[in-house]
Amino acid sequence: MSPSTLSDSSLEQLLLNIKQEDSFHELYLLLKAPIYGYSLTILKNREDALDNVQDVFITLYNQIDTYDQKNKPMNWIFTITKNKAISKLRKQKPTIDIEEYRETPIKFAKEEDRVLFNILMEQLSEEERTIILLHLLWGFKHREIADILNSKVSTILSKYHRAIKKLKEMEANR
Amino acid sequence: MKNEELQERLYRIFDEQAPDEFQEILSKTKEKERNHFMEKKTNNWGWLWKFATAFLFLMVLGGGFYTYQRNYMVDSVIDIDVNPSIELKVNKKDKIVKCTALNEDAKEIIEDMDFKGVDIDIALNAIIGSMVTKGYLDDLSNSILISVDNNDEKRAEELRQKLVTKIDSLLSNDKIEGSVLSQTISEKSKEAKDLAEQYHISIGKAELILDVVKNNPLLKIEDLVDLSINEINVLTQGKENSLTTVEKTGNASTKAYIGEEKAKEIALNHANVKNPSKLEVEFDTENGVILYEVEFEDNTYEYDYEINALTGDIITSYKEKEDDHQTTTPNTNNSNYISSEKAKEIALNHAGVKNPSNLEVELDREDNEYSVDFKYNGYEYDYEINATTGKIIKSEKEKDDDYQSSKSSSSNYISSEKAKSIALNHAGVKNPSNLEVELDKEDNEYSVEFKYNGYEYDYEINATTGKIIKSEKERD
Repeated sequence: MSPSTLSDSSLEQLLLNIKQEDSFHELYLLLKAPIYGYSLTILKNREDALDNVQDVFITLYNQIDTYDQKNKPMNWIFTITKNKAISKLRKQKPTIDIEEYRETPIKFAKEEDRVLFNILMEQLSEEERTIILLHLLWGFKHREIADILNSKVSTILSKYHRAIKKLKEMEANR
Repeated sequence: MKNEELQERLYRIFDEQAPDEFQEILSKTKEKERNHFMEKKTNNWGWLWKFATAFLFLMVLGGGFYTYQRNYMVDSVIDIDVNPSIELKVNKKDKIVKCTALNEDAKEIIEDMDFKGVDIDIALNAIIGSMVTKGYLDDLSNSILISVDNNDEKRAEELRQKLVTKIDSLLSNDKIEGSVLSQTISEKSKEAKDLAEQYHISIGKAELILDVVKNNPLLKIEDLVDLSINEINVLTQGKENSLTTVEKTGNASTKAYIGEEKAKEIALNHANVKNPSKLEVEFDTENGVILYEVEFEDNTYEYDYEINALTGDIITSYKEKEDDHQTTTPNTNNSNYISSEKAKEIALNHAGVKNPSNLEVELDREDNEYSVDFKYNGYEYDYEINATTGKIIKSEKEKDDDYQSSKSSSSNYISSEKAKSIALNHAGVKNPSNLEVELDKEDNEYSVEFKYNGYEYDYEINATTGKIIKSEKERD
């Protein structure tokens, strides 16, 4: 199950009960993939991305009182993820580049997953990757992505479809 | 590879790369909490002292417990439902003790308004005003439900009348001919409580739905829970005794719909029938969509159509030979057949399909068979079902050759023209500039953007039902 399959109200329920260990754990298991995926896109380094996941959950836990129920839960979580990642990025050594992905050997359950992961991380632009992850992992609608990236829905839609097509074609040609 | 599959794979990839570090995170939060507690500990008694002083001060100021009770004790609970659902708890002096948003739409209505201690009239004024401004109440959707819950029946009835009069006048100030449904609830039924809990709706809306279903046995509870009050009101319109415990002023607006005449025309054209007999049209609903049900006969067949009331698309067409009705034993014949609804359900369940398009059900009495045809997701389905036993005789599924071309004009989507006109009507704008309409098939939404008179308008519209999901207007 990914967050996109969960309704806003069930997610909000988990979030509001974050001080209870069961809810906190459930929320963590549900959201670590999107938070990690987005963090990796920004930080381009597995260790920093995993650190960011921890920081985000500690912040969610400690700052739940500041969550405003007028907002969608995923928007709040995303804002925290993004802000934390950007502040980490500023502290990063300037030498880190895209090759870092390959530095720590990563195990994949299936070889085809490795192929897909490498295409996503190396062949797509950061913007394309962000749009795909925000839609498919975070469950944001294209309109919401347009708001997040300060763009137009039509632009996001065409970029999204182009990126998906590219991803599928590249995978088929491997 | 389908997008759902891609989504699953991506989720798996990132999920596996992020090991479960929950215990570590948990211990870090506990550590933080401990530090926080140590900092605060010295202040704890101070906080309790402040609270006690404040409470005593309040008691002295208010003249004792009696006043406290009059001001803070809840006397009635009022549910206001349109699509936003709001619960107001009021004291004996009709002042608000608490206001709660019962759904997402309601949060948008209340925003940061604080009604505590405010007179119910003033709160209603603000709430109805916000509903009109945000497009939940207008010419296309004019119905509102008020439910007053108080154990004292007389007091509940007085308050109900007062609120209905107030709302009627507020709506006419905004030049809306409203329809106010209202009820008093002195004893909540367990059934309504369960329903409210199960579907996250107000007790008031649950009681309304139970009343509607009791008097209109063809309507089903699960089809009604997601509908707005105006849509429920539309379904009961024109039927005698369709509401018993709920009072009603005015009529539900049907201006958003194509109209009975147009629905008849669409069905007759499709059936190629010029002079029908026993022509009947009424509103119905299925899967959250409001329909016109059109029934008629010609010399040979009986016809039954379901037409999307918003778009005019034919959702189901049903045709049955009339011959056997004229035989001498029509009743025994009839009672042996399963209903066409049942035949449809058997086929859809077997195919695992919920919302098909181009659904056609036909009863062939000679062969004692229903034929059920429909399309879904690029496939054509063809079923033959024994009309007495309901057993599936034949089931076929094949690629729909027209799929790509028909997808863009698929009967499931309203047209972009329609989406545009829904947005423009709602905004009351005729000649906008910079108009852009986009269909986002994955999210099943039209996005309609335009500019007019120094403002930028931004609409999100459900691509199947035509319902406005979001409307925004801001200075350009």
